[in-house]
Amino acid sequence: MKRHTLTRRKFFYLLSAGTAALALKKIPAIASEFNQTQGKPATNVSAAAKIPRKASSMPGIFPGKVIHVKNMSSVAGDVPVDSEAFKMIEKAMLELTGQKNLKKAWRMFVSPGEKIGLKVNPVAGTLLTTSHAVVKSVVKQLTESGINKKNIIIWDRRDMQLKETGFTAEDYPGIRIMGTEMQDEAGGYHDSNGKLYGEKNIDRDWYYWADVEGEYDAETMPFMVNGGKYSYFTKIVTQEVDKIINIPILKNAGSSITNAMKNLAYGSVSNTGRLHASLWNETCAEVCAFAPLRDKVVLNICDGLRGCFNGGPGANPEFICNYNSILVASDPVAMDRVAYDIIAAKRIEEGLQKAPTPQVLTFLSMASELGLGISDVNRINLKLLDLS
Amino acid sequence: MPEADFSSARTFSGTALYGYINGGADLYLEYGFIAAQVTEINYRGGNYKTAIYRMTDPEAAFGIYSVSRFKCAQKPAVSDFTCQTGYHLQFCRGSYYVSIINGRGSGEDKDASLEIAKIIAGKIREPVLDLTSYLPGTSKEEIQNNCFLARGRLGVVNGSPDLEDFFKGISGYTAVILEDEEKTVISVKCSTEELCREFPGFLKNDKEVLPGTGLTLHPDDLRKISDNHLYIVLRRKI
Repeated sequence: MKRHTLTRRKFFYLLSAGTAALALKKIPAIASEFNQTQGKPATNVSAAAKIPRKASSMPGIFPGKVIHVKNMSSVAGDVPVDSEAFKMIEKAMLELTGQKNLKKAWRMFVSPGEKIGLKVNPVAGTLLTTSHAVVKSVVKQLTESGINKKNIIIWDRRDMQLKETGFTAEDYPGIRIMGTEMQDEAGGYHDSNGKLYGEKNIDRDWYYWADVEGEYDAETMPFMVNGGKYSYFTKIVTQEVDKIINIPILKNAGSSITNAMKNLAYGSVSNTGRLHASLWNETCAEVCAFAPLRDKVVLNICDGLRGCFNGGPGANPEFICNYNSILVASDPVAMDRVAYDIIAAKRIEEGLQKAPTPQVLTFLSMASELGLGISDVNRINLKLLDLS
Repeated sequence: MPEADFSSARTFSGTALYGYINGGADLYLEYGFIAAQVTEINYRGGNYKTAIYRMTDPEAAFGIYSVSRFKCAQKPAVSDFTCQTGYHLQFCRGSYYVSIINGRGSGEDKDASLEIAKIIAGKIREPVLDLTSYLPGTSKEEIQNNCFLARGRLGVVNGSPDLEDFFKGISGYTAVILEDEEKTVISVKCSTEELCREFPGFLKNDKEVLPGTGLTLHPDDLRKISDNHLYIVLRRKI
């Protein structure tokens, strides 16, 4: 990435930010660690590299390898079919790992005793959430592989959206359901001391700093947890889980996509409103470069049974379709690149664009530069299995 | 609606829309958003998620509508801008954009959605949006059914991603765009005269204006309607 030389004024400004950050133990930040890509606000992404990578760090144990399973029986009457989803994930896991035994395949990624977080995406509500067919299949395969239910956590940033979309203790007995931002039964967002419930769920030792101020009114703050220039990681990723299985949905975001990287980045930190306009690509890539995500996300399972080809990340019924697909990869960057081709093909078929425009996938090339995966389509080992 | 049961009414103002649709809020905020009320209605055995968005002005409401409608199966007489498909009825009227999503896509659901839409529309007492100043000489029906309105990058990429580069780096405009197989008409009003001067950077004589799209501009196809209003026709090379 091309870097700007800091001006004197900028240097002292950043230095003051860095001084405050020095008090934080996990990410020591000094002025030189705040980087500014040309024309873009500076961020602290280089601080992420200070923490040594692990063998399991992104892109995981199968860099560049993506399994795409298609199955036209996987959705019936616009409802994903549990048994078909189970089969598709099973086939994908065996193909990805080269194992003949499903338990052995899963145990390449997770082990008994580890706390496993399933990062779902319920943001668009009941119309377009990570399906229960996929999540229940993952849970079943994990438990059959020796993972105790009590060590599985289904999570996302908003507890209320998890509930709305059916991720509840009743539907997932024995499994913890957690959100960073919370609402009480009366609809309030503050505890008896006037503090946002979400505040106790963010980890101020881990943060993504960007030189963009988050300024929110009182009504918006419960959905951001904090304002200012720091986006703090949720304790769910820094403290609660040992491994993360990322389960995004196949959705467009304009002519780009919102899938594995976006699901992780925007779902794991606070104060995201400020990061949309000028730092969307940077956030998708750079937040994933920090250890809590980089080192814990071991597997990505894209729920493409149903998805959308326009209007994403929201859910507009006109644009929801059955892709009848599941993608599985340890490499979230490669998986996103393959996901883009699926969505672009659908957009072309529907007349929304004339040709693929992979040049819009700036966040993937950034992620690749950060060593998080392979974005070059020519280096991706894609295997298509059709179970139809 | 005496038989209806209303539940889960939620209101989101300004940037609190992020709390409802996360990143999806950016599109609404780009157009100009004031508040949204979201209500679940149980009515005659069906469930209807009704979202009423109050935008800053009628053009903003039309903008959202114009990039949200797709392959309208019916255009019932709720407002001048109404689109109904199996699961969705949406319309805009005055400064309001209204979306009614049903759970089953049945004929009963479509009828009930229409009933709800008419009640809501009847409560909106604002004049009908008139876009003819943007597209003089174009029929009202053509404007109603085929054009879209953008006020920034997100509106453009949702309405016609091929035009993203055309508007790159420019803000502070309202563009009404009409596309067909042969040409793309862009009628753009800029908030200041200076902003309108940024557009000619793309306008090179007889060159492909937008690489990969086949769209070109001839000097005669750029008209200055006023100091801050440009009328541009991009023609597709056959």
